[in-house]
Amino acid sequence: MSIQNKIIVGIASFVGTMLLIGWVIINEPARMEVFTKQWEGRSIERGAELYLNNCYSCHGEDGLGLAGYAPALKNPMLFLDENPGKVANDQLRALRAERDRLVRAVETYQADIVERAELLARLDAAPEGSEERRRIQMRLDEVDTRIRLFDPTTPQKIEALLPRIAEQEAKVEALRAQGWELNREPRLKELNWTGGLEAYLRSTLIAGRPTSGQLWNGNIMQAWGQEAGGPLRPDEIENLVAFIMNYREEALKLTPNDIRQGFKIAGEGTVAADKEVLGAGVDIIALDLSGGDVTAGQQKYTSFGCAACHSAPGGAAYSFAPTAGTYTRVQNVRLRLDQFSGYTAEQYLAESILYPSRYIVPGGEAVQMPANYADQMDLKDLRDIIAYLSTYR
Amino acid sequence: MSVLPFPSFLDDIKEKGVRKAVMELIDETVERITAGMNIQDIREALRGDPPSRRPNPRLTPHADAFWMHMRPSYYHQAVTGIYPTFRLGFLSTFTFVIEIITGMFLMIFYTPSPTAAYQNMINIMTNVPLGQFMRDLHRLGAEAMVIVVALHTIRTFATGSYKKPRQFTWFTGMVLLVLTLFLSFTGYLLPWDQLAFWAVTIGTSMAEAAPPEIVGTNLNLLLRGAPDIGAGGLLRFYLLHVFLLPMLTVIFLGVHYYKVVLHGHSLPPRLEEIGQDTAKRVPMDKRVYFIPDVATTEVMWFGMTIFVMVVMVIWFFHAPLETHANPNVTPLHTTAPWYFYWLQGLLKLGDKVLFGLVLPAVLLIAFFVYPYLDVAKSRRYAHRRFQLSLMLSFIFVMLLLSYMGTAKWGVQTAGDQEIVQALAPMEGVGPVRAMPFDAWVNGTYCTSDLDRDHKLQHVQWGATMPRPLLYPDTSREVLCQAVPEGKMRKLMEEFVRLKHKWGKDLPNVVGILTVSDYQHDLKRIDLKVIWNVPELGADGKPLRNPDGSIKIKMVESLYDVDGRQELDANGLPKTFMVPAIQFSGKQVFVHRLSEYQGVGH
Repeated sequence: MSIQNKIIVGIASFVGTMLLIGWVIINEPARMEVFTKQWEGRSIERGAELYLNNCYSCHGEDGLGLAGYAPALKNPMLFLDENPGKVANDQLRALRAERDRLVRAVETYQADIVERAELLARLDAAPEGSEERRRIQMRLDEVDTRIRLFDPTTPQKIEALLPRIAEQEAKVEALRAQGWELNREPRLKELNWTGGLEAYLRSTLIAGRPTSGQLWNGNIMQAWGQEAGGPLRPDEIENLVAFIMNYREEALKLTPNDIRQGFKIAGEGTVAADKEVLGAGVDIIALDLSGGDVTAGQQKYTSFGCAACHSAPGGAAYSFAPTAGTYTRVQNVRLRLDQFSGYTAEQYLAESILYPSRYIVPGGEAVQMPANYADQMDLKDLRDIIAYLSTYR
Repeated sequence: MSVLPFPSFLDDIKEKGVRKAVMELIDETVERITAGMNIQDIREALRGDPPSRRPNPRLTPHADAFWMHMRPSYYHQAVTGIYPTFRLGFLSTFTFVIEIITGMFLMIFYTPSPTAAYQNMINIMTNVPLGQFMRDLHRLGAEAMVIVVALHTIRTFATGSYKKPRQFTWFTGMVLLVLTLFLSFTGYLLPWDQLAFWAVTIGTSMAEAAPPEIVGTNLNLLLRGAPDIGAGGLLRFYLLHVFLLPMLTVIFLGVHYYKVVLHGHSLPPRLEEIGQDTAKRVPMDKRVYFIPDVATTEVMWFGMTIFVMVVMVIWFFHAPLETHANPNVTPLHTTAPWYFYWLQGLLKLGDKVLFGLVLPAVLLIAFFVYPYLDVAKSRRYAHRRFQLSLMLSFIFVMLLLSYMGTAKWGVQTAGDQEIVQALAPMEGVGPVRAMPFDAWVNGTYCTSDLDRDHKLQHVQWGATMPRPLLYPDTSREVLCQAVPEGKMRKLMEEFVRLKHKWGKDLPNVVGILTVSDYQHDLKRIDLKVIWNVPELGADGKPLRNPDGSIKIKMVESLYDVDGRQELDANGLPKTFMVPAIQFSGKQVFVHRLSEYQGVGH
């Protein structure tokens, strides 16, 4: 090859290289954006795997929580800036306060009219130039001023306010029916957390909640980050944060009734104060387990979180001791064991619910089922759930 | 008299006029920069004309300039073509320079710490302009450097250029080959992904095998900084990669090239009398001067090679980045870097010490001292049939060993795992992740019949399913749906193909693919392989029925194969003998944004 041709080929190569690199540079912002999105997607995918390996057994495979066990993460109260129940209720309070203020104004006006007539009468009676007459005149001026300043449209305003209040009351009631608590703030606000949701999730995942055992009957959110002695690396924590953040879209469409368990705050009781729970140690044989309500039982089967593990038809899909065939299985198999001689199927079910580790089915696992249902259920709850389970023959 | 109180350029202008004075100044400056060649000399050189003044100005840079003094002022015509050098030495140096430049770029964005390194990689890919380009170029250069240096070694052997007086040049070349392998190997770990971590874990485990135990243990500790690779190991590899090994390479490259220039490029064997070395005695009519001929050729090659590499990294080659290093999870089919496959192949042959250490060490020593042992004078191919056969056999054995080193040879894995691995590998993409997000159709599909809705035959009635459940729940009836046309169909056809390929030892094996929504824009794909358990004989091999089919193990169950229960005369549940069933598989999650089929893999 002649030297000129070499120079031409060399120059062409360099120019080609420069053009290509220029083209790459022009496309860099777009490429980096695409790449960032891809990594976001992959981070969520890995987060999902981690969730299924580490988190689902407490927070539910679907992220809706387990009643009495752990709160939902697919939870509107986690993602909302304001609790619509509280907002509506605060508006209702403001409307009522306005109404009360106007009513008080009318009442004051009416009292002022009466007092004015009375003062005028007393003024006539009082001697000219006396100290008493001077005082009555002063009071009269005061009352006159108030009467003059009274807005004559106030009664109409009250009238106008009433339907708005009724409307707002209905709104609040509808929200309450959806499960929105009227006096609670969303999670971050309730905890006065100012660092943003991702930081909150990251911090909770890494350090856990050392005192959460007190709220959840001994079931604790452990520290998951390696920094705090847990098993997960920082990048895995980030993947989980990305996964939980990805619940936002769905969570914002939910109401508190759609989830199995909401958040708790310290000081809050785990069961309603007026509920007479069975209490640990209750003797099953002494209980009258008949007379449960199947429909209520079905609802409680979900609200106590049973369905999350023991799949009901159409419910969560993984099963451990499947709901289907429960009663038959108990009758035909379990009760034939020596240790259950004299038991009825209802008593067997009651024992399984309240004292899950007294008898473990061969091949079953002891640790998973919460052993605190006696502290959460009253006798009616237990009857209802047994009645519901008895339909699975 | 001077214009200024002292002599200056203005005097020149006054004397010669502006134009002439400026031209002379430029000419002089150029001559100083080129250490001897003025504009006219350069123009003549590039035109291919002979030099117009004496002494030849094209030789002065070789005498006076630092960089040029390293290069010979002329070559023998016989070594300037493609043959006999194939420019492999030039390319080796070229790739090394590329590695240094791209490496320094990457260094700016890298922290050698297990908590930061992988994040740095993602940052380089997502947030650094030209980050991916530089990383790909660095990786491509590294792979190319290993290949080019190895080919350079083979070429030197083939032409007998290692012979006297070039024995020591060969020796330093061997040092450079080893350094190249270690440079590449130490760089392997730095991204701190699964590929890096496990390839290097396998690689360094060789050191641990060195006998006696106290040596192996301490060698391993020295290399990894701890019994396993961690923060200490990463930092050590990083320092080796960016400091010690490049420094050694520069030093040995200097020695190597000094020796090359000292002895001259060996001529093609046929051009010399046997036993003669005439490389330094180049007749006038055979001289090809560095300036301009060799220089322009080199610049042309430089331009062409960089162009090819840029084209490669834009369209054809992307440095892999797998998931974050995880010491607790070994990916299936994990291997050492490809240039150590041969070593893995050797290890599969038997004893770790003998095949992993002694044999490679003996080989390496043999390579180093070979020129001092092979003292036959002739470099002609016809006289070196034995050596050339030896070389070809060695190449063949290395390729064979490399094949044996891959996961394809001699690794026993269960067929069900292979099926799942092929569809959705633990690392990398695979057909499942490559599906466009919108092509997924929720449902349960079975390889038993793609065309019709049908019930799955293998149901473990009433069994306890491990949690989290692998969809579908095969402890109850499962309905397999007809597979929709299009990409879903193609995927299931691949599943069927893999089932036939890997499922030979799995009687009545069925593959099930379940697609469901898991989160907003996130699909959950469950891959489940379910089969009948073979009845095993005393030797651990499946027993056969008289018709040659695998005998299936039968187990007791409270349900018959259709899921029915019955009570006997005493009211006790009857037991049935049903075929034992086993399954395995895994969940894969696919997010809309991931776009595995796009860039990044």
